[in-house]
Amino acid sequence: MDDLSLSPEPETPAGPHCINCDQTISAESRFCNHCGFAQPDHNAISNDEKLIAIKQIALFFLIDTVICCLATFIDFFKTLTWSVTIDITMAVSAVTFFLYNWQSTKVLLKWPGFSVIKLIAFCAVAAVGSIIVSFLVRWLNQSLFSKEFSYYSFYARHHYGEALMIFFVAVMPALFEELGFRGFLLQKLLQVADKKQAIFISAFMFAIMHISFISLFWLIPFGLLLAYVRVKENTIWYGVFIHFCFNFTSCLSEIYRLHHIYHY
Amino acid sequence: MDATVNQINERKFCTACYTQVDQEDQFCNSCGYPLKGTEQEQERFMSVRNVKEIDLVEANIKIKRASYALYFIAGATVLMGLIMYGSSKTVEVKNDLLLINIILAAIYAGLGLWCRSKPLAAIISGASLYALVLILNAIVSPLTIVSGIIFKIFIIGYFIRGIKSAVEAEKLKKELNIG
Repeated sequence: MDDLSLSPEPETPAGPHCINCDQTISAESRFCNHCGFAQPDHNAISNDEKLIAIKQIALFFLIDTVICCLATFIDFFKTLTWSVTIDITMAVSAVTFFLYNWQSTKVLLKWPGFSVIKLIAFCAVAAVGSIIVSFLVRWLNQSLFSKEFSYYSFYARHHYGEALMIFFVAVMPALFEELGFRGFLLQKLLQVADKKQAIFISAFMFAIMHISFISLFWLIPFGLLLAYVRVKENTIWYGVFIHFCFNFTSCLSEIYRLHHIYHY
Repeated sequence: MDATVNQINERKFCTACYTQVDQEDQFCNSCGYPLKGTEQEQERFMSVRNVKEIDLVEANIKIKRASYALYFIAGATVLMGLIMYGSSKTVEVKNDLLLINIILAAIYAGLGLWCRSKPLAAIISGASLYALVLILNAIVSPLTIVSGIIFKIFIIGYFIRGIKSAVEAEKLKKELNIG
């Protein structure tokens, strides 16, 4: 009785055929079961290409790491002009790597299956997550390291400090980190490793790049979420909006806190 | 054909990769084993397969070395944390440093363990964290590049070979249809 259901159906001429003997084979066959000929895997990437991809990933990571370390640890770079220069350099690096791999990355700029409901849901989750995270970070900083930290105080000294902060903390990273990490980096990693590993590596690199020790605990899940959404939806735009909402909310809560609690 | 005989003979497995195959298959469609070939053909196939299996064992040894490098860094990080804890004067700074070093060591050790199931992700992540720490130290105090430079070169070497082997191992596993 099982034999009947397993018998090959004659009405499947469009199914895969062996490239050697032209007999019908099943879609997942790696070898023809009639002549033993190895079937070409069209998605396969040679090991040499994979190693080149890894080198490119390493170069991108090293460039960004050096820039981030300089910006974080050298006092000389802690002026507004330098901070802007550094942000622009990182943006240029992300765009360069993205454009260099234009053939494989251009598809990510499209937005297939655009859904307003999904977008609003993602943004709401990001905003709520941001409030929870900024509360936790403040609590951790105070209890573990007994420190207060604020990035607004850096911009507050300047004219239009709030606008500057929103632009450089919310808009720029949302766009260029997504372009760099979820655009270029994740796309390259997918050529090298399977989906799960690629998502993890990109999230891990994204998290450690921020060189903020206390933030690792939320940056890794945040990176995993962004990478997962990007792989599932095959577009960087949801990520851009999630990232923007997340950073924007934390900017707003920072401004609110400083204005209403400390009367800045 | 008798129904009962048919039932018994229905499940047939490939001798090389143990995938289920059909009765009438000439070759295994997962690994290419000549199911109905001559003894000589089957032996030749198995010897080629054995060479690949040896390559896989070698790749796994290099992956293992990379995981040992991760454990080594974990140990060294704890040690450095303790030294800094002992040598620094301010209580706040030394507690922070110790905590940071212990968490870093835990991350390295965790990645070392993870090498067993997902070597590529574990080694790339570990290597990037190590590179970041090296760059960070070099920028804060440039002389740290020179200290223990031989260890650093060895560790980076193990990582690079580990990454290459992890890529190689994944390809071999696919070809051998295992894991």
